[in-house]
Amino acid sequence: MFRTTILSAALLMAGAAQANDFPIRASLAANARTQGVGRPDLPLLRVNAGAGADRRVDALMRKFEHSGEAVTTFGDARVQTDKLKTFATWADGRRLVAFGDGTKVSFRNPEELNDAAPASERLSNEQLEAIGRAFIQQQLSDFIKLGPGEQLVPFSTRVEVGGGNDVRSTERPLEQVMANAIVFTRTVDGVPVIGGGSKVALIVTNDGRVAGFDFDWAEYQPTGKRVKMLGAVQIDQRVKAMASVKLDSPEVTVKRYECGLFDPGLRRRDPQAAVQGACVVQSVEKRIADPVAHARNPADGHVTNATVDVIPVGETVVADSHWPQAMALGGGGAGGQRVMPASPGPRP
Amino acid sequence: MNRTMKIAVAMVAMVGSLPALAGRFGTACQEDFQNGWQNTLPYSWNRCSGFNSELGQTDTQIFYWNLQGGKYWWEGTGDQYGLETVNIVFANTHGGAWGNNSVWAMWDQNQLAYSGNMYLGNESWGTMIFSTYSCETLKYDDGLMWTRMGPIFKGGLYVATGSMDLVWAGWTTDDVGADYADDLQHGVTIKESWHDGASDWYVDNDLAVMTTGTDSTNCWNRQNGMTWQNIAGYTRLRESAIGWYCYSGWHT
Repeated sequence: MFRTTILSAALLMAGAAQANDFPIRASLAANARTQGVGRPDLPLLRVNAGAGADRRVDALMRKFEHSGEAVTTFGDARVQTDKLKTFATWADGRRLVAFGDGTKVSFRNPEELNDAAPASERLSNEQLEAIGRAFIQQQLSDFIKLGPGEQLVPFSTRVEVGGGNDVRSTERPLEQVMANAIVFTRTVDGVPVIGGGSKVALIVTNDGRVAGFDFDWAEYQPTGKRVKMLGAVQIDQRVKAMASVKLDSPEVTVKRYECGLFDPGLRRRDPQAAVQGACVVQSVEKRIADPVAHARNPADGHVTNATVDVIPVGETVVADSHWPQAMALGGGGAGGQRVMPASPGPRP
Repeated sequence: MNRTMKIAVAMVAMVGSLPALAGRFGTACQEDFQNGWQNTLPYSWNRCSGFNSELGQTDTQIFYWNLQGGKYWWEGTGDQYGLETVNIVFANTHGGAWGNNSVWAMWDQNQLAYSGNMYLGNESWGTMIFSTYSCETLKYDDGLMWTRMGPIFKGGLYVATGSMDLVWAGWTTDDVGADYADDLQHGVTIKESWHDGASDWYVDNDLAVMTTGTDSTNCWNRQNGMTWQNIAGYTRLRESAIGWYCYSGWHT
């Protein structure tokens, strides 16, 4: 009985690989809980600022201006700049946006993304990796640069589906694939970067053409410092102590538990802080909200709470003004307290 | 005609009217719950206040309320004093779906808003867009999406955005509201605004968008064409005028 309980708790805490995860993400699901970041220490990395959103939009406009493919900046665009971004829009709905210092970019050609295919024709991970690698290599190599010891690796895929039905029908709708997406991440000396930073995503039509891309890709610069990482047991203790839900509660299921170098991405990064080791834990708790419905059917009557926590796992932690747990552990002065916006009142 | 009646007539006349010059929006968020009957929802205030700050640059904020007593102004005729007073609602609370209902948790202990008791688009300004950053409320994999959400749409709602499974709460998703509003402001379709604003490429938010139409083609044309700026140019569909529902979903 004791052994079973221990095993069950471990499984609840482990997180699980999902069907469309690539090997690097599957290995995080398999190993992060028992091996932490998988290294005794990790480098502290600084993030180099980009050249600016306007310059990045200019460069991409030039790059794709003669393209006859789905990713094209051909034609007259309206270019605008506000305090957060520079964006170009075309009359047919295409849009190109560069944020902040230009290291975060998004392009879409929505007219190319309206053709559906049967669900069975979802592009495979292997097909998407080949399409994605070719596009990044041939079209985005000026923007997706790799430093020493860095690699671009496929991370996961996603799909857009569509369905619907006559409102008088009681049949389940036939679902179709509208678009496919592949996400790449960066590894640094074999350690994956987790979080929204260091990601390249390509939106791929059902016939295999890239019709959109997003990237959040800054250049990293070693600080020359390395930080000792906690062992798996100490990580587990810190994660449980700092997570916003009780992770070992029987009602909580850990969906993902991933450790590596954490980069939250341009919009959430403290530019003065460092990319450092962390674990990301995504957990779900269902609570009974309608006891009557639940009594009728134990599968019913719940509402769902899905929480993501990011916990630094270095023996020492560098303060990061945007990251509450790094502030709390890194002696950031604000005590790890978030800046609260004005909370709403009740309807008068 | 007394003053109350005059106001009522004026309100009815407004239903379906264009959000001319500036649209009206309201936000409804809940972070803590009475006696802890549901888990704290991290950064909920940030999601609503971000939406307010961003859309408030071009449009008119009518309300920013928590969900204390919210059931009254989400369900039944009380909605004319709450959700229906705006063109777009953005809300963040816990959600669920089973049987014939999608539900949204209110602050009050054991209080849920049930989709079967909701009917949006027929009173006051007539809600056009109902966006909730809540788990499961646009669940479709059991074939009961219309059973659950149909009662809301029958009042004339144009589009609902939400999730068919999980959306994640934490400091890395605190700007969902601001990003969604930013895309809406810049003429991106409502469908793509939701997908772009409420997701990143790491946390795997399961996002869904639902619309109605007279038939399949009409439904998809509406879903793929509607923007915050042009939505009022589309016909408001109610009750028997609705022949079809359609959805898009993004998942792993």
